[in-house]
Amino acid sequence: MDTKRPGGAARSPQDIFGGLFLVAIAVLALYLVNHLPASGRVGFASGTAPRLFAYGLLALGAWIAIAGFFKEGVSIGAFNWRGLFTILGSVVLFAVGIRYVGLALIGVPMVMLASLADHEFKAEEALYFGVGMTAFCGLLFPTILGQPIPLWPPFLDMTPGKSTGLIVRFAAGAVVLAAAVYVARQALGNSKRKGS
Amino acid sequence: MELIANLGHGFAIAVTPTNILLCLIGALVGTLIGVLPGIGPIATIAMLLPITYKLDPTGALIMLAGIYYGAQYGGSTTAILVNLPGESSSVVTAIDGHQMAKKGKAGTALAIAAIGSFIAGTFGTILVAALGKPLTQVAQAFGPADYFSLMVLGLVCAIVLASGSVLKAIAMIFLGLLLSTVGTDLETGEQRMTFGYLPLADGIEFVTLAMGMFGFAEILRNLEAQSSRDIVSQKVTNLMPTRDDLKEAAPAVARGTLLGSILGILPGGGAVLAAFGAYTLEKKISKKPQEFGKGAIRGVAGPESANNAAAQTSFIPLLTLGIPPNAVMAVMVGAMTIHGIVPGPQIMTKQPDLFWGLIASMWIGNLMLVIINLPLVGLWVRLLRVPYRMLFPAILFFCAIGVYSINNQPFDVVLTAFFGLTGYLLIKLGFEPAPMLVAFVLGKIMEEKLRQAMLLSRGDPFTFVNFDRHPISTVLIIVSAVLLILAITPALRKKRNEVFVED
Repeated sequence: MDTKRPGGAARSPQDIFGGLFLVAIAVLALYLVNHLPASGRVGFASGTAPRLFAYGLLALGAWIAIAGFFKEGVSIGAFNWRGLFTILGSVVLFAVGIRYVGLALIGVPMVMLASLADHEFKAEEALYFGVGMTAFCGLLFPTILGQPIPLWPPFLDMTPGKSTGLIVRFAAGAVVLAAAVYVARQALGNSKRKGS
Repeated sequence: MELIANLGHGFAIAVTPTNILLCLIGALVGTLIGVLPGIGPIATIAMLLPITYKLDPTGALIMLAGIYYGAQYGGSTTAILVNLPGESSSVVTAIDGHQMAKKGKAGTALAIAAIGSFIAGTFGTILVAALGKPLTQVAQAFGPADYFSLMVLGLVCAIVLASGSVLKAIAMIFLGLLLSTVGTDLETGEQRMTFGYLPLADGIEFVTLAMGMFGFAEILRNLEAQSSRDIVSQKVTNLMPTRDDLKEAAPAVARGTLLGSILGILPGGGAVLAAFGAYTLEKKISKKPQEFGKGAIRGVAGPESANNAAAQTSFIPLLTLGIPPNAVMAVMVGAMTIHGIVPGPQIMTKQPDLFWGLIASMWIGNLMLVIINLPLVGLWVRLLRVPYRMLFPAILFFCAIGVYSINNQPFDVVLTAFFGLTGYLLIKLGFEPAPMLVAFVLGKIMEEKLRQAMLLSRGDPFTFVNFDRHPISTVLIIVSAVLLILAITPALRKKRNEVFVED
């Protein structure tokens, strides 16, 4: 990221693109508040403050971009596309799936997709870990803390508290235990390898 | 003494079994995330917010505060043993702390860091208690114009103290302010920048912004810069520092505590800046500056005291003026709002239990940390061996659940991913998102006060600098202007950059 460019037209790409990015945001904001009154009876209306801030951002963005042409600066580092797609993708996957299939079924695919972001991805480990995490969170948030997160798909309506819920909790507990043992063994295994 | 009576009242509240337990949980979670590199207090507090729904506000804040100062203790452990900052505020601790560990003095370094932190924490707590009352009284004399100007000063300080380009910091402030205006207009009920989309009518949820910009963007950045962990493997022994060590470290602890306390109160400051400042100070006044970087005990004692002192005192502007001086305190504002508390001078008068209970719990939390932390070092080290490839999916999963459960709204989760993308872009383009978060939180109050002040002055924009009517506001605006001009002048800019340069 710290590679300096010798001369050339675009001398500080980071500043030029950064400035333009802000300009784009400001223009979008100005477009969105276009229908609101810019000033009211005592100077201020609903559209005044957003316009004020947007014009400020516009000016600063333009300044940063223009100044970027005249000074030496750093180039933009390479983007971690793999990380972006897997990390943000896993979060969106969660958002899409939570209402339809519930925490119990979305957890494993989400954790596995997220794990793919790392180059040392190990499918088996990610699977076990996903199962453990899902069981742990399923037990902690909707069951123990009673947060209204759907745990199962709607057609399987096993609301915790009903008699089926109890079985689910027990099953989840068993999986948590298994996962905890696995994680502990993994951690210990690592320490032994490094220690020797 | 009223102060002692008040503190006594606070302790009575803080030592109830529930609150002690919550304080312990907060301090332990804080240490945990402090030890683990790649997750900071901002994301953690945001993540745990929904869990605190069922608690009473005092208990909730006691726990969340514990996370912040607990993280300062945990961060030093990783810095010393692994040469990685577990927390950004312990970046400088790693320099000399790890060298000490390599020389077999890991125990001494850990102990000095913990003792220094405890002394600093105690002083910070007393300062919060002592300054609470007078500052609250000052704040009660404030009108809307004065409040607005005070927040302007806060933002200017955030600009002056942010690292990197001043211009970019100002731009981030404006971005934060702009984002804060999304949602329903307070006075007219008109929809602003919501794309006509109902979930946005309440404005951008603070947690989604914080979690996306800090939590997710940080994970993305960590995945790019993965370094091998060089854990000091021998057993940590000799936790008790020798008399000579203590003698050597004591003045650094005192200086770090003082400097940290001041920088914590200043808007834009906080634990990170305090640690950097203290290290620079120690190195500059030392008679043996060549020892720094090779395991100087003062290089550990100074910054570690400073970051914990700052973590405590940054509560002062929040509790008395209702102004968050840094991004972590901005998250605390979010927490208070969720529990129906408006940060500001009225907390002390209307909710004395919360105010004094929180302060007392900070000291108890510090005490617990210093007692439990050193024996637990072995456990923390073991945790560090959990690879990051397992850590970050877990963080993501917790975050997604946390964001979803704020409003039970899948859209919020998608929005978080969007802010993660934006945050990553901003970092790539050389912008520091922290000032933006502070501006986002202040933005809503600022617009409200601005409009009130304009209404009172019948639309006169010069009311803020009208000395006859608003002397406080005028002074604050002048100070802000001077600071801003100084920040742009080349000489000071050079000095400011020096503070942030690591050796």
